[in-house]
Amino acid sequence: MLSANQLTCIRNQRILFDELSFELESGQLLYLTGPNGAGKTTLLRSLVGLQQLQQGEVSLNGQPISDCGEQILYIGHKPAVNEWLSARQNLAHWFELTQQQADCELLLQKVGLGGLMDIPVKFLSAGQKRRVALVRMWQSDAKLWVLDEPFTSIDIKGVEVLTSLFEKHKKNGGYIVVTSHQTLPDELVDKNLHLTYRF
Amino acid sequence: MSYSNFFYQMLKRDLQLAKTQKHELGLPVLFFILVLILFPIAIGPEGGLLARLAPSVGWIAVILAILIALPRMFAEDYENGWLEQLFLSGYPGSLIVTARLVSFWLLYCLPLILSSFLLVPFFSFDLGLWWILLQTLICGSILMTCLGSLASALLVSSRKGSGVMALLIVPLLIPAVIFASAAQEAASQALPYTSPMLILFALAVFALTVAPIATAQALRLNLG
Amino acid sequence: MFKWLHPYAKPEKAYLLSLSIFKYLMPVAIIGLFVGSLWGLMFAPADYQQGDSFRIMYIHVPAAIWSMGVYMSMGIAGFCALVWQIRLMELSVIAMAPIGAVFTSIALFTGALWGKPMWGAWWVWDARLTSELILLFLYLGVFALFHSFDDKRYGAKAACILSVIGMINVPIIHYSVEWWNTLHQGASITKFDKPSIAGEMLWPLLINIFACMLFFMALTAYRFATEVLRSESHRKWVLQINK
Repeated sequence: MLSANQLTCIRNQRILFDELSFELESGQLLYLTGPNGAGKTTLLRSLVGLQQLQQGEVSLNGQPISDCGEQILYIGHKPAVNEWLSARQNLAHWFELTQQQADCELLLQKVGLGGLMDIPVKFLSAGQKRRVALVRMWQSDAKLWVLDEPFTSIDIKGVEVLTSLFEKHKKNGGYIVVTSHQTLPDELVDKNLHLTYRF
Repeated sequence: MSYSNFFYQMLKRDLQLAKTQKHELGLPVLFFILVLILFPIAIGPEGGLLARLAPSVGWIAVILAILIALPRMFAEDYENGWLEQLFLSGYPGSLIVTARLVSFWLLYCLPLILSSFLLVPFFSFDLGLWWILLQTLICGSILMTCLGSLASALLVSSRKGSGVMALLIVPLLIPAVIFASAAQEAASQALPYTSPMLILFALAVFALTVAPIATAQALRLNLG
Repeated sequence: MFKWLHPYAKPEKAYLLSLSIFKYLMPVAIIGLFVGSLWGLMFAPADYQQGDSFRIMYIHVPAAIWSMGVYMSMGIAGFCALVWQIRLMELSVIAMAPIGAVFTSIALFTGALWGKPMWGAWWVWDARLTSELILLFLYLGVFALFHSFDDKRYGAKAACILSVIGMINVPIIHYSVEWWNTLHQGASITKFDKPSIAGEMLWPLLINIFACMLFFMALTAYRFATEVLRSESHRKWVLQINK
C-alpha cells in the first residue's frame, strides 16, 4: 500500500498543498489533475522523496519511501537522457544503475527506434527523445511508477501502447501515479486527485 | 550491484561522455596556456625574474583554469535529470560525488598539472623546482576539486556564472596557496620543504573526506 | 532545557521574543557604546608612544573581535540548522552575515587609518590584516550565495552549508596566514597574562567590546525578526500583525 500522510509543501512562500493525505492499494492508478502551477510535479517529486517537505511522510508497504529506491520508477519532466550519448548507451547506463538485465536493442526496436540506436540523442526529435526515456517502463522491476506527463509529444499510437502498459502493470499488482493534461480512459483510473491553484 | 561496481560504472559513463565532447576538455588547458603567455608579455622577457615568478604564475593559472571548468561539474547531469535518478537509486550520495570528483580530476586537473611543464621552457624554470611545483599542484588541485565540487553543487540550480563561484572558492583556497609558495620558497633556497608539503597534503586529504558529504547534501538540497 | 526552548521554535514566538530582545538590548548597547567611546576618545590618557592616534583602538578592536565572533556564531547557527533541521536557525545565519561583514569592513578601515601614522602605510600584507580581508570575502560569499537563489529557502540552506565549511576553514586560514612574518603588534589583552595596558585605558575598551556584542545581538534579533516575517508572509499571524 502506498500511503501519503499529511503532506505539506511551501515553495517560494506559497502553499502548494497542505496536510494532503491519500492511500493507494496494490494494482491501482492515481490520476492527478490540476491547473498549471498547482503543484502536481512537486507532489510527484515528494512522493518519490526528491522534494523536501515541510511536514508529512510517504510510505510504501509500511517502509519509508527513502528506503525504497529500487522499487520506484520515476520519469519526470527531465528525461535523464544525455544528449551526447546514443539511445543504446543511455539505456545501457540506466540498466546498469537499476541492476536489471535487458536487451537494449530489442527494447529500442519495440519503441520504433530501431535504426536510430547509435546516433547521439540530440539528433532525434522531441517525441523520439521522449521514447528513449519511456523505454524504461517496458522493462521495470519497480513496484511504484511515478510518471509526470508521460504522454507529452507522444503520438496517438504511442499513447495506446502506454495505456496497455499501465494495464499490465496494474495486473501485476503495481502502483501508478500519473499526471497528464490528456484525459485517461475511465476504466484505467481508480482514484482521482485534483489539486487547485492556491494563492 | 556492489558499491565498487557502481563507482566503476559512474566513472565509465563520465569517460564515455568526455569522449563525445573532446573540445570541452581542451578549453581549460588552452586557457591555462594563454594565461602563462600573458605574464612574460606583461612583465617583460627578463629570465631571472620570470624564473622566480614561475611557480606562483603556475598556481594562479591553474586556479583560474579550474574555475573555468568547475561550473560544468554537475550542470549537465542536473539539467537532463540524470542526477535525480542517481539520488533515487538508493546509492549513497557521497559515493556519487566521489566518482564525479575522481573523473573531474582525471579529465580536467591532470592535463592542467602536466601542462605546467610549459613553465620550464617559457619561464626558464629549473627542472628540479618544477618537480616540486608538480607535487604542490597535485595536492592543490585535489583541494580545488573538492572545494569546487561543493561550490558548483551549491550553485547548480541558480544559473549564476563563475563570478559567485570564485567568491566562494578563492578565500578558502588561500591556505593552500600559502603553503605551496612556502614549499617552493624553501626548495628554491635548498632548504627542507617537507613540512609545508605535508600540511598541503593533509589539507587535500581532509578536503577529500569532508567534500563528498557536504557536496551530496548540497546536491540533494538543489534537487528539491 | 529543550522543553523550555521548544515553544520558541514556533515562528510567531520567535518573532515576538527577538523583538523584545531588540527592545531591551538596543538601548543598553547604545548607552554602552556612547559611554565607552566618549570615555575612550575624550578622557582616557594618551599613549606615551602612539600619542592620541591609539584612540582609534576603541573602535578598531571591538569591531575586529566581533568580526570573528560573529562568524563563529554564524557557523554554529548554520551547523545547528543543518544537523537538527531547524528552519529558524537558517534565517539567523542570514540575519548575521551582513552585520559581520560590516564589522569586518569597519575593522579593516579603521585598521588602515591606524596603520598610516604607525607603520607609514595604509596597508601591509601582515597576517592579521590578511586574514581579516579573507574573512570579509567569506562573509560576502555567504551573502552572495543566499542572493543567487530565487527561492530564499534554498538560498538560506546553501548559505548554512557554506558558513559551516567556512567555520572549519577559519582556523586553518588564520594559522596559515600567521606563517608570514608578522608586522602587527602583539595582542595586548589575553586571558592569562596580566594586561600590558593601563587600567584607565582598558576600561573603556572593555565597555566598548561588551557594548558591541550587545549591539550585534540586538541588530541580529531585529534582522531575524524581519526575516521571519518575510518567510512566513502567507501565515495568518503575520497578516494580523500587518493590520
